[in-house]
Amino acid sequence: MFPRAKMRKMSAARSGRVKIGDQPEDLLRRVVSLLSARQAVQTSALSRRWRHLWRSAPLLRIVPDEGFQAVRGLNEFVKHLLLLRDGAAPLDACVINFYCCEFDSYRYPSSDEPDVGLWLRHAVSRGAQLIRVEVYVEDEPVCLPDLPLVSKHLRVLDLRLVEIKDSLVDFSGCPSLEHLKFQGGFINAHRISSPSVKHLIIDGSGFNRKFRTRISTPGLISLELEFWGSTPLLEDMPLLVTASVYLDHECRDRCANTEFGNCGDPECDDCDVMVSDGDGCVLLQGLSGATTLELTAESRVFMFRRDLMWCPIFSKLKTLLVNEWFMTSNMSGLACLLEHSPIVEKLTLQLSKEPRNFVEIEDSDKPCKQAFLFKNLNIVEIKCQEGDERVKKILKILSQNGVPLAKINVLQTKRRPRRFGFIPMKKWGLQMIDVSERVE
Amino acid sequence: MASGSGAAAAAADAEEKESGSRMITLTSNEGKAFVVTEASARQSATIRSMVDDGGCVDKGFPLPNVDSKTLARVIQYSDEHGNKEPHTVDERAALAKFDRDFIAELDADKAFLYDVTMAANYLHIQGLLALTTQCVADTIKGKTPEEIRTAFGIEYDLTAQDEKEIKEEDTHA
Repeated sequence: MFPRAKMRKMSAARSGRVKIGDQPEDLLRRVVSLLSARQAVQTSALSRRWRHLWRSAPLLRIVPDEGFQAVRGLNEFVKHLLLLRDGAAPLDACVINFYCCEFDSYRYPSSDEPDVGLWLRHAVSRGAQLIRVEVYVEDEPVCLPDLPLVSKHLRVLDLRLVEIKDSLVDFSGCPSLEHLKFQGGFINAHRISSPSVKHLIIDGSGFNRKFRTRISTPGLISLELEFWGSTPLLEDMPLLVTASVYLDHECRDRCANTEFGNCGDPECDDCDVMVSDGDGCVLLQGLSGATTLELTAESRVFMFRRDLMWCPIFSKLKTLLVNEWFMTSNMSGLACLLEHSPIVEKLTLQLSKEPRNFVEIEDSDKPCKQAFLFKNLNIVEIKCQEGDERVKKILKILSQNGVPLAKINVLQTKRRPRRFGFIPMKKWGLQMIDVSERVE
Repeated sequence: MASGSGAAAAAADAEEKESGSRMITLTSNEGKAFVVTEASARQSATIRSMVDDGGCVDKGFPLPNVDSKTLARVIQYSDEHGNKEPHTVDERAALAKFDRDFIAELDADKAFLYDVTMAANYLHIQGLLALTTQCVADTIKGKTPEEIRTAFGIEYDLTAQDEKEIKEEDTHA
């Protein structure tokens, strides 16, 4: 395109005297993009070639090493940065990532909150395709403004450790949004909705305990859900392929006394606040179109068990993993799930190492109400720790219900000295077994 | 072309593509030919699209913007990333180590690093481009402007007017 420039470059290359300034402008701009916003601005003092590059860097990174003493300083800096940026230059991505406790003078509560909402809106208005916000403030998360985002460019949105309210999670104004991720923080909204999002991850975020958040994402293909507070209600997701849902002990829908909750005991933390559940099926209806499902829960969380009262047909389900939440009432919950999964091929039963994390099975000789249906089921895997007494009971119930033992594969982890802390159930699996065997 | 033989050729093509045995010739601006596997060549989005658009694979691809020394180095990267797909943790660690060693060597010869960066940009090899630009950015991080100028051999050519403007911007931004 520029033969003369090229010749100069090539001859320079041959003589081995290529300078950084010989690089095309977009490459230098790319380098500047990899710097924190403050360092990017400081490159303007290098030479004329670098003078204005930062104004049109395609990536804006407001990250920890900015070296500001106080939130006010950072706010002032970013305000001017946004004013001085080249308005016509495309902004592809914006990353805002810092911990307020890193500011020397930061005290909570502070009158100087970082203007994260403003920066976020600026990035959106400049057509950023990817936005990630991670701001940690002690005690209370920073609350993003309760205003909808409107952008036809936004494709990936990743919000961490912040509080989010209703309007912000109405993504009807973001028709290109495909990847949506919330990590930590608090989703204090009645409804999360996006007609376009394909991949949704909610990882350790909180939902309000007083009401159920509805998740309305009809285009979803994959879902990962782990949270605290009320279980969100999943609306229909006909395109869903894989989903993994983990309900931990901080899930509000948990009861220490009964199998299905609502025990009426004022001492029961989780049953005393009643969310109106005229909703019927909360999780399973929305998940019913998936091919691969992982449904795990701390055993006192009753959400899956109660949902089975309205059990939908899992017409495409091929691979199912569950942990011990089904082990009540002679595994009737599992029987129900399988009965509603006509083409399931592989079933994995994952038993937690913690025996107390477990509701006792009623040991009974009478078979389940429904016999399991095993037309397509090729393999049942039971993952547990060596010597887990529950396995015998499971095997008995499975065989009573017509599962050939040849199809059942028990994978036992060797017992190891009890370590401090515990391994999250998620991390269990074959790999663990290999490792422990090598140790032996 | 008879449709029968076309289909047969396409089938043979597909077979070759699958086995990854097809070789592609890349020619540097000095006319030196490098024969690489298709998997290696496909690391470059530029070549990938030419191959997929039915470009003449047999005739090879001349690269008028890349000299032999640079192309050899770029191929070293593409071979490592294209010919093997890391599956295990160990394999991934080995690839990460390769990247570290690769960039450490380039970092010692800045002029060559820029050549490789420009070639990666021209050939659209995203992984390599990310590696080299990150290396340049890491050199800038935490340094004063004077130190950066020394590191990259940048000539100071700012005018008094520039300096005045920078000072003004600095008080704001």
